[in-house]
Amino acid sequence: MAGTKYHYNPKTLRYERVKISIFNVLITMIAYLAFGFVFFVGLVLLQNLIMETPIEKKLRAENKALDQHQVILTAQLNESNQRLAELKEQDLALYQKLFETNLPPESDPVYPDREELLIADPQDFDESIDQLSHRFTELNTAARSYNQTFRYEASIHKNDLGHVMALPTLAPVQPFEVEKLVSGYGIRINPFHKGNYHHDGVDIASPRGTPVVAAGKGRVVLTRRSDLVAGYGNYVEIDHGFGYITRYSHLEDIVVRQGQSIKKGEVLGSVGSSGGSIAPHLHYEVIKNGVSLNPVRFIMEGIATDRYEALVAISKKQNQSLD
Amino acid sequence: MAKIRYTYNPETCKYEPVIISPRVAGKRILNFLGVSLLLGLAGTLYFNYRYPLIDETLQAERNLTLKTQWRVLHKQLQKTSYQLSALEHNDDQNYRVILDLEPLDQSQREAGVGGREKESESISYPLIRTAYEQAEKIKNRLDIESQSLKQLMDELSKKERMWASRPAIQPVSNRDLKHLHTIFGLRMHPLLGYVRPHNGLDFTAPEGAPIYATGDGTVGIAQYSQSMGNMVFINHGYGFQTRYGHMTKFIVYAGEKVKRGQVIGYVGDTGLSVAAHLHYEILYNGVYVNPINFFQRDLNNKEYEKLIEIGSQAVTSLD
Repeated sequence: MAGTKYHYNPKTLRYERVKISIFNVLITMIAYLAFGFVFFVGLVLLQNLIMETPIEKKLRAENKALDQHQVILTAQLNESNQRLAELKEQDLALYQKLFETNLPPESDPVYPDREELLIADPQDFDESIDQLSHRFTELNTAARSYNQTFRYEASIHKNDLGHVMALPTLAPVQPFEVEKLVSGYGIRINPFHKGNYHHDGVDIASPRGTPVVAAGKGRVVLTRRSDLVAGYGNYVEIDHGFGYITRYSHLEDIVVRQGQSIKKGEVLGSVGSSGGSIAPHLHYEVIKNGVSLNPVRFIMEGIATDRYEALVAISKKQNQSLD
Repeated sequence: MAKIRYTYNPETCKYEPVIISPRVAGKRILNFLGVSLLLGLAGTLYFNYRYPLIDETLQAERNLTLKTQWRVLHKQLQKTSYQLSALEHNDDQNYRVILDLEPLDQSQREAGVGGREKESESISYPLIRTAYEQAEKIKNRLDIESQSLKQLMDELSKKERMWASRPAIQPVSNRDLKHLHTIFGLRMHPLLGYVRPHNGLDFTAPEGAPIYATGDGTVGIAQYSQSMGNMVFINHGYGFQTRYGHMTKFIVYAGEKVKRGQVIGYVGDTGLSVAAHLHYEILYNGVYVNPINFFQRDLNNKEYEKLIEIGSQAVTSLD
C-alpha cells in the first residue's frame, strides 16, 4: 500500500500524482461521523434494552405498584362514595321523618379546599385579590353604619341600663350551638297527634342531664314537679323584672328553690324529658306581661352575627316540635 | 473519479495499476467500522455521563404523573372522610340526642373489623399504604354509620308508634260539643246522690254525635255495663288505656285495632246518666289521670277535622 499514487492523464500522456483534496477529507470525516452516530444510537438503544440501572428498576417497580393499586383504590373509593351517597339519603329520610318536614337540613358543609388558591393561576389570584378588596370596602362601609347604631344603643344603655341588664339574653343551655335549637316559636306540628298548633317557645335538644342555666338574673318564682306524662313536666319560672318571665320545662331535675335569687348563667336544673315530651330537650319560653314572645329574639349573648342569622333561619322552619 | 490508480514500482521501473485484493478491502472496511465504533462508544459514554438513561427518564416522568394522580386520590379520600364526618356528627349530635340514645364514641366508630386481611401492610410505599389505610378506615366507618342509621330508623319507627298510640285528641269534635265538664276527682253524683270520685271528663253533645278513638290501640272491651252503659275500653299500650262510656252504640268489637280519629261509637244516654254525653277516662299505668292534659286545647277546629280525616282514611286503608 506504501507509495505515492498516480493517475494516468491521457491529455498530457503522463502519470500525475493524485492530490488529496479537502473535499475528499471532509467526505471521509463525515462518513466516519455518520457511522459513528449510527453506532452511538445503536449502542444507546442496546444499552437501554439490556441494562437496567437500580434507579430504573426501583422506579419501574414503584410505577407498577402505583398503577395497579390506583385501579383498586379508585374502585374502592367509588364504592365508598356510592355508599356514602346512600347513607346521605337515609340520613335525609331520617331527618324528614324525625321533624315531619319535606325540607332538607342545613346545606352540606363545604369541604375546605385550601390548596385551591395555591394552584390557581396568577390571573385567578389577581381576581380573588380584587374580590377581597371589594368585600373589604363593603364590610368597612357596613361597619361604619353599624357603629352609628351601636352609639345609639349605647345611649339607651345609659338611660335604662337596669332594663337591658334584666333581659334574658343568655341561651339557657350552655355551651350553646345554634343547631341545638330544633324547633322554633310559632305554628308547629305536634308530635303526638301530628296536627298544627301554636308552639309557645323553642325546643333546644340536649342530652339528658345537660345543665340548664338562667337566661338572665332574676328571682325563681315557681318550681313545679310533676310525674304526669303530659304538659310541662318539671319546670321552673324566673321573674326578671320589667314584666319578663322565662320558663324552663321538661327538666329532669331542679336544683333551685322557689323565691331564690338567681344570677345570669347560674344552673337551675338539668335537661330531661318529663311531661309531654318525646325527646330529652329544654322547652324554653319567654313571657312578657303574660304574653309569650319568640325567645330567639332574646338569645344573643355570645353568638356571632352569622350564627345568629343561622339561628333565626333554623327557628323559622315549620317542623315538628318535641312537646 | 473512476480513474484507475497506479503506483510506481521501482523494481520494474514501471507504473503498475493498484489492485485492491478482497483481503485488503475487508481490512479497510473493518478499519473504518472500528474507528466509527470507537467514536460511537465515546459518544455513548459521554451521553451516559451527562444524561440519565432514556428508560430512567421515561419512568421518572411516568412516576411524577402517577404521583400527582395519587395525590388527587388522597384528596378525594379526605373529602369522602370529611363528608362522612359531617354525617356522623349529625347522627351523634342531633339524632341520638333527640332519640335519647348514647352517641357512639370516636374509638367505636374507627374500630377496625378484626381479622380482616389487611392488604396495606405488605406495601412498602407510604403513598399507597396510607391511602389503603384511609380507605379501610372509611369503609369501617361507613359500616358503622350504616348500622347506626338503621338503628336510629328502627328506634324512630318504634317511637312513632308510641307517639301515635298516646291519647292526644279530644274524643268529641268541637262542632258537636256543647259543654265540657272539667270536674275531675271527687264530686256529688247526680243520680246516686252521694260523693264519689269522677275519674274522667264529661263531654256534653247531642245524641248520635261521633266519638273518636284518641290514640292508636286495640279495643279491649266493647260491651254494655250497668253504670257506664255502652262502653268501649281501648288498650293503647305504653301504659295508656282509655274508656268511653254512655254511648248509644259502639261500632267496634273487642280485639279490633283502631287508629286515632277512627269513629268507635256515638254519644248517648245509656247507663247511669242524666243527659246525652260522653264520659271519657284515661288510665296511665293503671292510675286515672285528668284527660284535660291529653288533648291540645289550642288545636283549632280545622286542624281537628283534618286529624279526624286522617284517622278515617287510615281505617279504610287497613281494610
